[in-house]
Amino acid sequence: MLLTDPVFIRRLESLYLLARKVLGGTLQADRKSTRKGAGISFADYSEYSIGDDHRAIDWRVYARLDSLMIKLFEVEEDVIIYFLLDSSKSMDSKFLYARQLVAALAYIALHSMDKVVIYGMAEELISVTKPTLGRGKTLGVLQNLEVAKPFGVDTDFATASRQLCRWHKKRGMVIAVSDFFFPGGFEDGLKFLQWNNHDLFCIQVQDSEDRKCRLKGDVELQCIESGKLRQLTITNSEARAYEQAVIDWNGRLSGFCGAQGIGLVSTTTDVPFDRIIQSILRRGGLVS
Amino acid sequence: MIFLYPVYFLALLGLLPLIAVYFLKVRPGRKSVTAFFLWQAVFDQKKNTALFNRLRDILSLLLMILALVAVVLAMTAPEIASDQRKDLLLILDNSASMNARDNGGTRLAVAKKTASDIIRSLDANQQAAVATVSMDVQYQSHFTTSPKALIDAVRGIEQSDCPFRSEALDTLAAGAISMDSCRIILISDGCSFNADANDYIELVKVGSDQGNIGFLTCDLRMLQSNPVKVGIYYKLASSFDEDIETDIIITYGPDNRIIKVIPVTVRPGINKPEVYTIDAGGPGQWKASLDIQDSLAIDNIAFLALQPKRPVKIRVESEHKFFLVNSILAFAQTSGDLEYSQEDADVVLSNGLIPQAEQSIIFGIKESSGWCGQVGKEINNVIAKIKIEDHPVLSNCDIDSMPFIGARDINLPEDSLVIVETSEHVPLIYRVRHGQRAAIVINMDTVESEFYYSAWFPVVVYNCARYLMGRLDTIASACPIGDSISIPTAQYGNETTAVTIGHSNEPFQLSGYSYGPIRKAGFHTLENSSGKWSLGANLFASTETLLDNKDVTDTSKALNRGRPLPATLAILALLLLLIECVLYHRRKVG
Repeated sequence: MLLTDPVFIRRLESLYLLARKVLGGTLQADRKSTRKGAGISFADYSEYSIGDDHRAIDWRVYARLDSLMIKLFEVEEDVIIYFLLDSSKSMDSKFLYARQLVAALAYIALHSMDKVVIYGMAEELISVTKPTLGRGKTLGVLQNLEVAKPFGVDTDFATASRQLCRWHKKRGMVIAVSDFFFPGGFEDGLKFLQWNNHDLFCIQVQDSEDRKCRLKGDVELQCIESGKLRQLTITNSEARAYEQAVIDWNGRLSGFCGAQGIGLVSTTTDVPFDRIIQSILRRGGLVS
Repeated sequence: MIFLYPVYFLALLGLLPLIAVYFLKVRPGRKSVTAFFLWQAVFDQKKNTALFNRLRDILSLLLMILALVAVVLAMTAPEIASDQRKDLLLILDNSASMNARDNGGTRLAVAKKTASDIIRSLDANQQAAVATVSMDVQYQSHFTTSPKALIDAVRGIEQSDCPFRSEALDTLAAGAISMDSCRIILISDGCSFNADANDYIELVKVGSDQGNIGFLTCDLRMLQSNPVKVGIYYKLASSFDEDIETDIIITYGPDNRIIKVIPVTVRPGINKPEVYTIDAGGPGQWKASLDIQDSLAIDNIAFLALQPKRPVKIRVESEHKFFLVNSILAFAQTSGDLEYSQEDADVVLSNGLIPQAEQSIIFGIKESSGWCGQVGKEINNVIAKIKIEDHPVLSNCDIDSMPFIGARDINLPEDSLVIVETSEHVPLIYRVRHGQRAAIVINMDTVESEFYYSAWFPVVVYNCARYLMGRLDTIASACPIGDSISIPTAQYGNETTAVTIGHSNEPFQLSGYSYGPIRKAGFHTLENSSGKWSLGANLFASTETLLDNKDVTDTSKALNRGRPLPATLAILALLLLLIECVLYHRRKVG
C-alpha cells in the first residue's frame, strides 16, 4: 500500500480523530512535559529559595504554615518529534510496516502542530524529512516516507543517537521504530538520548520469522546485515534455543525501558498498524 | 569360506562412484537471518558436538561402504567351506534322558532349537526330513524343501518315556549307503549311542553331565512265608559324584497312602540291590518314590502292581475222587494256584464221565460225546509222540514216562488241537473247543495205567487247569518300558483285551496274546474274560538314569546353523542403511 494512497490517508485521518477524542480538547502545543516552569497547569509545590520568582510564592500556604512555598507549573511548549526509522537490511521485511507506523504518528503530530523530523537509521542517520511543521506539510512527509529505502549494512544505534544529538540541540521526543536487533546493544543509545533530555518512545517491530525458527536440518545461516556465514544443523533443540534467545532479548529491552521510564510498544507485522496506534493513544499517548 | 557366485564381487566397483559422490562438497541451503548474533548462543552449544559433525560425513560414507559390501557378499552366497550342501536327515533323540533338565531347559528343547537352527540355514535346493529315535526310528516328516513343514514337524515332537536303543539306528544303515547325497544328523545327548557302530551318523551333542538318581529295577511280591507281608526289591543308580542321602516313600492304593518311608544312601554309580519287608498293604497299585529333586523325574518313581492270588477253582466228577481231589489239594496248599471247590468251579476234572462244564479236564474217555466223536476199541503198545513241542500242558512233564494204557481209538471232533498222539495219529492228549466251552482230553485209563501214582498226574492236572483258564502267564509287578508281556487269556484265538494306560477313560482294544512293546511309564490295566491285571511300566535303564555323556564327543562335520549367511548379510545391510537414513533425516529435516 502506498503511503500517499487516499485509502491510507483516510485511515490516518481516523487515527487523528481518535487521538483528539482520547486525549481531549485541542492538541495544539499541549504536549505534556516532565519539566516544570512557567505554564498554567499546576504541577507541584516547592520550597522557596533565593532567586525564585516572587510571583510564584503561595501566600495562602505561608499564612497557614509560616513557610515560603512556591507553586510549580508544567511547562507547555511545542516539541520536536524525532523519528528514528531503522532502515537497515534487517528491516527489509518490516520496512513498509515501520513506515506506516511512522506515517501515522507523524500525521497526528503534524495535525497537532508539532514539528516532525524523520531520519533513516543504519550505521548513520540519513534524513528522510527535514524539520517540518503544519498540516500542509503532511503530504510531503508521506511522499518522503514512501520513497525511503533501506540502506547501510548494520545498525549502530549508539552512533545514530550521538549523531542526532549533535545535529539537534533542542530537546524533543525521540520515537525509535526498529526491530531492536542491534548486535552492539540498545542500552547505550537510549541512555545517551535520555541524558540529552529527550523523551523516548520505542516501537519494536518484528515479524513472525524473527520470533519463530522455521528452519530445520542442515542450513548455512547468513547474517542479512553483515553477510557472515555459518553452517548449522538445526534440530528442535537448536530451534528452541534460538526462540528462547529472542524471548530473552525482547525481555531485556522491555526490562530496560521499564526501568528507565521509556515507553515501549512491541508488535509484529501480523498486527495491523492502526491497531498499534490506537493502542498507543488509548494508553494516553507516547508516554512510558 | 566359499562363494557360490564370486562373480558378484564385481559389484564392489560400485564403491568408486559412491565414494566420489560422498566427497563432493554439498553445500546446505543458505538462509538469511535478521538476528544472526542471537544464533551465537546456539553455535556455542553446538561446539560440544562439533567433532561428531565433522566426522558425520565420514561416518555416513563408512556406513554406505559397509552396506554395499554386505549386499555384495550376500549376492555371492558365502558358505562355510566344508559344509557340503547335501540333503539332511535330522534325527532327534526323544528318549527319556532327553527330558533331563539341563541349564534351565530340557535337552529335548535344546535339540529342537538346534534342529530348527539347522533347518533355517537350508538353502532353497536342500531337502531335509525329520525323524525321532528312542526305541525305534519314527519319521515326523518326509523329505521336503519346505522349512515350515520341517519346523512344524520339529515342534510337534513330544518327549518319549522310552530308553534309547542304538540298534534302532541300524535300520538306517542300509539306506545310508544308498543315500549318498544325504547326511544323517543325530541330535542327542549321546547316552547309549554307539558312535563307532554308526559311523555314517553325525552326532550333534546336546546336554552336559548332570546329577541324577533313579530306580534301575524294582519289584514287589507277597511273601510266600507270610502272605500278609510284602517284600520290595529295588536297585538304584546315581550319577552324582558323592553319596546322596534320601528316602524312598512307599505309597499304596489310588489315594497314595504312605505305607513306609525307607531312608537310603545312594552311592555314585550303580548300587547294590536291596530288599525290604513291608508289614501292611496288599494287592493293588503301589508306588515307590525317591524324595529328591534331580535332573530326570521319570526314574524317581517306580510303578508297581501287586497281583492278587487267583486260584483256579476245580470241581471233581468221578466215581473215584480221592486221587483227583488230592492232585488239586497238592497245589492248593503250596502255591495256592488251584483250589478244590465243588460249587462255583471254573474247571471240572473228570475221569470216565462227560462233564457239562465250560472248561473240563477229561481222563479215561470211554463213550462218544461232543469231546471225542466216535470212540473205538482200546489200542495197545502206545508210543506217545509230542506233536506240539513246549505246549504249556506238557510243561514240566516227561511224556515218555506217562503210560497211555487203556487209550482208545478216537475220531477227533472239529476244532481240535492235538498235542500228543501215537505214531498212528491216534490223539492221546488234545484240546477241543465248542463255542465258549473247551476241554483237554487225556486218552488213558488212569486206574489201569496206575497214573494216579505217577508224579506227573498232579502236574498234568495243574497245567491243564491253568491252560484252560489262561493263568499260565503271571504278570510281574513292574516291567521295563520297551518290554512286551504275554496276556493271560483263556479264549485262544479270538480273545480281546481292553488296555487302559494311567487314568485314561478310553481303553483301547487289543487282539492277541501279547501286549507291547510298552512305551508309556505308569500303570497299565489289562482286562479280558480271564480277569483284570495291573502292570507297572518303568524306565529301568541305567544309561538313561546315569545321564552319562561325559565321554561322548560331537562328531558332526561343518554344518550351517541359524539364519543363512546371505540373509544375515542382507539384514546387516538394511540395518546400516537404516542408520544412514536416520543420519540423513537429521541432516535434512533436523
